Amino acid sequence: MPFVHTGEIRMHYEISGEGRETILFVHGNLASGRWWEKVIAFLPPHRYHTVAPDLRGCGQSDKPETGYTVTEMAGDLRAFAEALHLARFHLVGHSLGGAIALLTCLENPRPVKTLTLVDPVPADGLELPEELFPLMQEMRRNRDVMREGLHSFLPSAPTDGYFEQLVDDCLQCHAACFSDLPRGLAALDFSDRLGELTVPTLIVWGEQDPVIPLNALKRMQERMAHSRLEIFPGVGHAPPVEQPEVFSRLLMRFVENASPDR
Amino acid sequence: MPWINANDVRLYYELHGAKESLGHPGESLGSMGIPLLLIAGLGFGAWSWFRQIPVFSHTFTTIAFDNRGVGQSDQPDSPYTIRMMAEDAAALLRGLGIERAHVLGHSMGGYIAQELALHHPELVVGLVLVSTSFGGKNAVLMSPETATQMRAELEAEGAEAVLRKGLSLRLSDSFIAERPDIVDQFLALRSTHLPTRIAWERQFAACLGFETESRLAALQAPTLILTGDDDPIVPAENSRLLAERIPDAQLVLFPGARHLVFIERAEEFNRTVIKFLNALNRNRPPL
Repeated sequence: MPFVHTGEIRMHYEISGEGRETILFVHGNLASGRWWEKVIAFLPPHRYHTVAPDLRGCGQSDKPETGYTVTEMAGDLRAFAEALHLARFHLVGHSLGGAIALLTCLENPRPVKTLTLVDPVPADGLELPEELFPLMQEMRRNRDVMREGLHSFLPSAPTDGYFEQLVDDCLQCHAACFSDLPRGLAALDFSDRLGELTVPTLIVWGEQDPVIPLNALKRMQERMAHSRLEIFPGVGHAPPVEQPEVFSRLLMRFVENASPDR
Repeated sequence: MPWINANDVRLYYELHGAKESLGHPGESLGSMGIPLLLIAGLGFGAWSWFRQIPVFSHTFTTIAFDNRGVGQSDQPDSPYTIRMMAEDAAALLRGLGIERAHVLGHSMGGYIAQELALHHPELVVGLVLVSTSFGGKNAVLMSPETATQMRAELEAEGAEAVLRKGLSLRLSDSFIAERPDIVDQFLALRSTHLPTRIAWERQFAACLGFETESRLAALQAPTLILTGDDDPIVPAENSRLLAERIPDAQLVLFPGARHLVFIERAEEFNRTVIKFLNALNRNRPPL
């Protein structure tokens, strides 16, 4: 359970494996590094070195009152990667973490070997339905509503002890994660910069994702030179939680094919 | 990003450890256990400790930083001295609210650590000197061939082939053959953190002016001296001489290892350092 002080905040992270390929996992909103636990369990430790931080306001990382924007959280991620001396890594981001990973890669592509965006917040923003916001406030107050809400996002995930931990993680997130942060996603737009990307990119989408529209991901994929889009049938917003074994196989294949120096 | 203004320069630093021991950002770190400060060698920076930080940070609040002239710290184009860089390190510790620390320095970082311990004995609890010397006329120099090769690396401005060639000065042939993964990681970090020519010259000039031999008898901190016994850059004889001159010193040689002993023999190195520093914590009642 190590921590690193990135200057502005203390970030908690988990590392595992001693392999040659480093994979940096970035979780989404109302989540934590735990969301990658099941995927990491399927990655052979002699081949991969995995790093999964808790973002600002989430998990065991600090929860300051400000800084809940994609831009500032991408700054956190960059400081984190620098402080852990991650020279070259595969970057994997889910949902909000996808937008953070994408922006991090646009700002400093050099260390990024491959980019995997899982049901990402699209590069041209995400306007959430207005009725979602009062519901999110209700989720904060009522664990049962939170559990129901999370289950509707991850319809194929087993509601076991692990799922209950994810519910607890949601409830521990900073208040901004339920309001200002998701609201701010509507104004996000760095789609005109997608042409700059040269890093091999895999976009993944769960067919039953209720929040990320497929068309927006298709628009992104068309603008990214070395990208492809893969759809998970029967899966909701989080293939890494709902189908960890299938997702980890796909990720390994993508990472290995993009690392010809092996 | 973590920067602190210390001794008139802005230094990039990192804090690694348990959450409780890191304090709240911007707060004094005075209340934690004795932290460990890592001081990098000529042209290297905080990144060079990539095989130490994941281990040390479980035992100590670990501070790594870029010396003036490299990485994300300021690179003033004016003369540097080792004494000045020791004052940078002291100001960094004080700026973080740290009154006592263990200090580990590699090569030029070992020079800085010696000056820090000599001028601020109250600050340094345990001293670890790695692949270093006391400088001056009695230090054992590298061969002219080694000096030429190091110069060539700088001229090549990070060309991977040249960096790869220079590996044999720093890591043993067997390590290079057996651990290509770590070698690649090292080269990737090094090529993305190469010092500028100007700053390298400034740090190099500071090394030429360094000498502590006549003052070592005054060193109060218990000292652990570590070196590879096949180091072409700072020959191991320097460590033997240091161990003779420093009053409370232990010497540990790593057979076959070269200049970056902490990278190629990381497991043994880390274990040796932790054991030494933990024994100091036990033997001394907290003040």
